[in-house]
Amino acid sequence: MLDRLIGFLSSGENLVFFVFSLVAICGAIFMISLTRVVHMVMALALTFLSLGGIYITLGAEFVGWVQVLIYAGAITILMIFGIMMTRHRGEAETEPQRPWHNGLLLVGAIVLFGILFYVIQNATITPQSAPVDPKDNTLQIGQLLFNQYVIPFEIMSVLLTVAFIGAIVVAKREED
Amino acid sequence: MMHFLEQPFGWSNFFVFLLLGIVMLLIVLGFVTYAIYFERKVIGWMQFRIGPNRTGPLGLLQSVADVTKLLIKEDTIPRKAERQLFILAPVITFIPSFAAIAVLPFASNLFFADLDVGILYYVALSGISTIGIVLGGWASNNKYALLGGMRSAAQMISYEVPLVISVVGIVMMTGTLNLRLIVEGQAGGFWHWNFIPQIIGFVVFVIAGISELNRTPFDLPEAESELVAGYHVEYSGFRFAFFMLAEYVYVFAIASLTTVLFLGGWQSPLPVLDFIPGIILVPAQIFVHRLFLLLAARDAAAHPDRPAHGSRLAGAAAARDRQHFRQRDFNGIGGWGRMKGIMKGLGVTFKAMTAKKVTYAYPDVPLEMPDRFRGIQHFEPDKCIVCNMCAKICPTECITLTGKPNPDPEKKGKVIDTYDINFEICILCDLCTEVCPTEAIVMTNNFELSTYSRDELFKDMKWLTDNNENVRKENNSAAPKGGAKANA
Repeated sequence: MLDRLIGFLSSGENLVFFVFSLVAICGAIFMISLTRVVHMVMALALTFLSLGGIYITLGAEFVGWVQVLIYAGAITILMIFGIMMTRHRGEAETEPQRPWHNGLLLVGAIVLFGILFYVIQNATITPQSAPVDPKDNTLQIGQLLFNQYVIPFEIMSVLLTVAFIGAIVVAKREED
Repeated sequence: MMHFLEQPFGWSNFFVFLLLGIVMLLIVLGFVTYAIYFERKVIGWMQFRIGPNRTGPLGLLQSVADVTKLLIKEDTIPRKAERQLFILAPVITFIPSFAAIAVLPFASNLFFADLDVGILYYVALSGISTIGIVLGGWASNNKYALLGGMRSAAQMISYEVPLVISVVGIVMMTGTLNLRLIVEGQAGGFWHWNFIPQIIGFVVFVIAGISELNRTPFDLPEAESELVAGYHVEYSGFRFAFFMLAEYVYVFAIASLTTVLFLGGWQSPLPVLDFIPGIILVPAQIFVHRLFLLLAARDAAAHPDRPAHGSRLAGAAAARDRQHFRQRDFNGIGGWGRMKGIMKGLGVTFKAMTAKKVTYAYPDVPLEMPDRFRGIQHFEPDKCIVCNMCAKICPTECITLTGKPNPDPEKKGKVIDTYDINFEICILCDLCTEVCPTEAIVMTNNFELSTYSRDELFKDMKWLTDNNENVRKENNSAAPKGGAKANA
């Protein structure tokens, strides 16, 4: 059981994956536990960045950088904007202290981790298909999108447009 | 470079890349140093000045001195600022700017990364810098900094869209996002370069690029002449330097990106010129592009009354009036008016650059003094007959002199022994030279008397004798210009 773990960690790619996923999880936890909203958005941006890193480690260059561009760049800034423009006072509400609560949480987390670890270590996962050639997967994505999946793609864009117009209509109505 | 990239990653590769990265960092720092120097020089020329000319030969070390000053300045963090984010913000801004350079190919065999999604990589990273700017503005806990950060982010995000879309044409023509392959697709003379079929994309890219860089027609994020500085109001010392460094690194990056995407990268403009190594061509083009950026961008420095910006003079008042402020921001950016403004500005800039300067390179070029200028006295001991007239007529009694018997026993009379003028009280009234029968004391065009101690204003005979460089006759040897007599 442990030799699998050692084998996993001895590969550089896996180490990078490990670091990125650790950072992503840390960012997610900080996102929940931090009290100031701008700090939360920063933690979220960290998670987005690490997810982009994981995509790149897996060979999905295009998806990885789009993740960085759209989520870590644009969406984060949008959120920062929204948060800075709105008023946030009295964010630091303290919950009533329950001393046994944390202990139970710890036990639960350890048990959950143990179960997941055991199951994953004992599972045999056979790769379904050959991994995608990491070279020039932008081209492959483009070809798939505009041949095999052209109808879902177009429907998606219509859906986005509808959502966009809907958002404007809703916002307009509130203004009146 | 290609074989390094294709090798499996190990320690030796790591050190090679580390070394190359450091070299690149130094090159970029050198570029930034001289980009600032160049910019200040050109602004000077446009304002009929000479520009920095004191530190080092031709002022070449001016930026070095400025950066040194920034680095050793006290590091101040406002007490009510959000400390961690305040410290983090310049880092978040700078790191992507330098990382973005990795993807730029400088020659057919000199590039740091061969990414299939090169353009996307650049755009994604430059988007992260914006977070740093917004954060810096927010963490300063200052209304003006926050508004500055907002302005900056609004502008950078809104111009990122045209910047990216203007490149789509090239991506479709070349069929790749890889910058190296895009350059290779432009081989064979300048008529194969992308800027001809993609002329609209080129124009849009250049304008959006100027805006991304916050250069002057689009310098609302800084607007140092109208508003408070913007997102970096509270920053000083090396944190401020990092924000500025990031900005200038982006100048380098956008200039190189324009070269690579539209101007053929390392491909020579004419097939005849193929012998020129590509490594020269890219920096040359970057330089030319940079020059354009600078000229287009800096017209405003000389002409704050330009039409596109008239409303911005109301900036300080507008900061109070938020509604007005927002409208001005979003109406003010972009549009044909800007474009015309740039062209007008360029015209004025070129005219002003060659005009006669109104300032002097003073110690190197002597000032031409008016004919009757009365400067510090020059004394010639050989002519002096120790008649004491000058000491007697001096209204402030600043001249003291002693004579001694002529050393030659056959001659009569005295020769001068000591002759001192106390310039602490001398009023340069010219009476001593008027009264002198032998012209032993004359006035010069020299006027430099500043010292650190009053004692040094007490000049002796030797100093007065040596003070003969700018004697009036030598300096104004030409026919008298102006003056009452010449006009009469």
